[in-house]
Amino acid sequence: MRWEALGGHYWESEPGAGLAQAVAAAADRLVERAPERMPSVLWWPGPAWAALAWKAALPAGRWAVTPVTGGGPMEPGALRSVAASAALGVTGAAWAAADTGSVALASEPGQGLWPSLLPPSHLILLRAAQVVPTLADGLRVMRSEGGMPPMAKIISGPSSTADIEGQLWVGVHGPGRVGVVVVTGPMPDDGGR
Amino acid sequence: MAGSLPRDPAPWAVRRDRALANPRLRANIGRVARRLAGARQQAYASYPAGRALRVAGRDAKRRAVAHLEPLLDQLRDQLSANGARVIFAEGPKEVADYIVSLAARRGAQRVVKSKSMLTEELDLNRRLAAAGLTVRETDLGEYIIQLLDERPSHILAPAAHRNRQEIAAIFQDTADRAGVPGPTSDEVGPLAAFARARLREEFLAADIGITGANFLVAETGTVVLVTNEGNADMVASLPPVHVVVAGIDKVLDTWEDLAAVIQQPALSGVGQRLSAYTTLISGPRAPGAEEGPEELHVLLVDNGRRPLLGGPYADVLTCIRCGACYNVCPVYRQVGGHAYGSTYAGPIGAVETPLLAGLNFLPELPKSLCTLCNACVDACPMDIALPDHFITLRRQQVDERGEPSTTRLTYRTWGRLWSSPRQYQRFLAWARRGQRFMMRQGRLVRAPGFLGGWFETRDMPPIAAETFHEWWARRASSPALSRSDEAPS
Repeated sequence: MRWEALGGHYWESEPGAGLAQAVAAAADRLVERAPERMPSVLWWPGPAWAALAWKAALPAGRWAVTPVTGGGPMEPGALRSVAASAALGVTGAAWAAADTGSVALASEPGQGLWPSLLPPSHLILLRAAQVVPTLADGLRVMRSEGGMPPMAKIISGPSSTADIEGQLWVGVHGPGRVGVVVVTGPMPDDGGR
Repeated sequence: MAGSLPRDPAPWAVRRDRALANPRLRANIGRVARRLAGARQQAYASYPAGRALRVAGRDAKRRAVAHLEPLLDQLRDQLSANGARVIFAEGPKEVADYIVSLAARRGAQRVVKSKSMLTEELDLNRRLAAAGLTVRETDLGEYIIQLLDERPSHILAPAAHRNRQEIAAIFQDTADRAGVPGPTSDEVGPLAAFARARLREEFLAADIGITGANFLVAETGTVVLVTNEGNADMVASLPPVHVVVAGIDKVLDTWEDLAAVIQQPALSGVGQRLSAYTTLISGPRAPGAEEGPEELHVLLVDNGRRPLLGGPYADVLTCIRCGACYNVCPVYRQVGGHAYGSTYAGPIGAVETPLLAGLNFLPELPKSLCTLCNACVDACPMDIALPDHFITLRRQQVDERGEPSTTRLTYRTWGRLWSSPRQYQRFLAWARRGQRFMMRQGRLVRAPGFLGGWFETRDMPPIAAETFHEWWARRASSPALSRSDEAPS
């Protein structure tokens, strides 16, 4: 995948215990720790990853995790401020395209986009079977899944700008650090989306 | 109906001289343009599939422009079915009025925007501010020029004419006024961090978000935005109301057509295979969802576009605003965007501006800002026939407005003198007698009267003491010379 060439971080893992380790390694790499402040994580990878043991990956002593699982457990508006103050957002993905090094996310019931937008770092969980050869293939996947989601985004690397003297700068509005953990092999609970 | 575009009141000669007398602007604009043009060439060279995509994308845009009205109806129906409100707007006033009354209904005050050339074209910020709304541009370059109260000088890099020190100064000034710490240095990182922090507050506090659209897909009712910073996603998903202001020329027929053209803005604009963020918006937030706007409004704006449909200039409406023609244009590289006097610059701006706003609007654009070098048509991913349009527009201007009598006299005289060999020889002999008063260091540097303008920026070698024709004639009449190989000097 071109993902790394675009400045994205990349991990591969088998499902199971190794996956929690990969997520832990990814979180450590993506988040810059400030001294004496536990980094907060907005965990919102959607129903496809409900079986993933995030408590093992992001233990309570090291991370302050706000999980979003199922229908809105929080007060209206709370989610947004959690996203705005999180050090790391974790999401699932809809598909990924190899030729452009892109990962697509769709807002769906149970999956939001704010964790990919507001925190300075963003980690994406992706199944290897979700990777298609070209961007056009990916767009076809999105179209074939019935109605369009209200909002979807295709991410190709970190937020960047060259607006000051044409110099590339990473992380201006969106996340400056993005990573994917690609899970190879079938998921134990994979009903196939 | 002709559209309405903003206009710099300064005449062309003033705008031109202002640009040419600003070496920093010329250096910055030239550097950015050359870098982007090089990146585009490298991107296509390393990505052969991009070339086939370019043709498919061009064809998709051309098909859409050829069947625009039914596609617009389909887009309206589909977006409405998705829960959006769709409004057809004639020009700047209708767009501003709609947003102002929407703001009044919602009790909204604070507006955040992501970069949109159409809203520049509509002078929307000024109109909204006049109605009492606070408008904040959030693209980093647009933010900088908004603080400086300037217009964009490049379609992709609006602040390309400003350097770090100038940007640090305006950021410090902004910080002082807000009573917050300014950027920690004038390096790019601290400047970007300052803007990120300032704008983050504005995103979260905003009542209305306004974006443009790069593409609109009729089949699915989808608004497509491409950015590298991620600010359009913030504008589209944080405020409770999202207003899309898009030209009617942005519509595409099918989702497949979108797949064909979606990479072109990045490939041709900045030399990436895809922008960092491609945002696909098909409706407001779903019932029960917490994310996304409660209301989505899509304004489809004409502003002088419909009269071009079906005519010789219709391909201008296939422009995807990638800026590739700006980057290769020798005129743009020298004068930058402000000299063009309105929203769009470069070759496409010089052609499109009078087409949208009327041939009498900035008539110098097609006349004086093109050398007919054809670099733009080579760079244009949509194959817009820009050089042909320059020639046709010039002809149309002369047909409609005529030319000053001095111009006619000059060309008629020139034509008479140079269109037969005998007259041409006579002209040269006459000019040779006069030229000794016009020389400096062996070069011809001046000419009498209005011919002098030609020498303002160039010189030329003097007419030879003996021209080739004269030597040839002498050789023919002199047997001694005809055997020699001596050539004229």
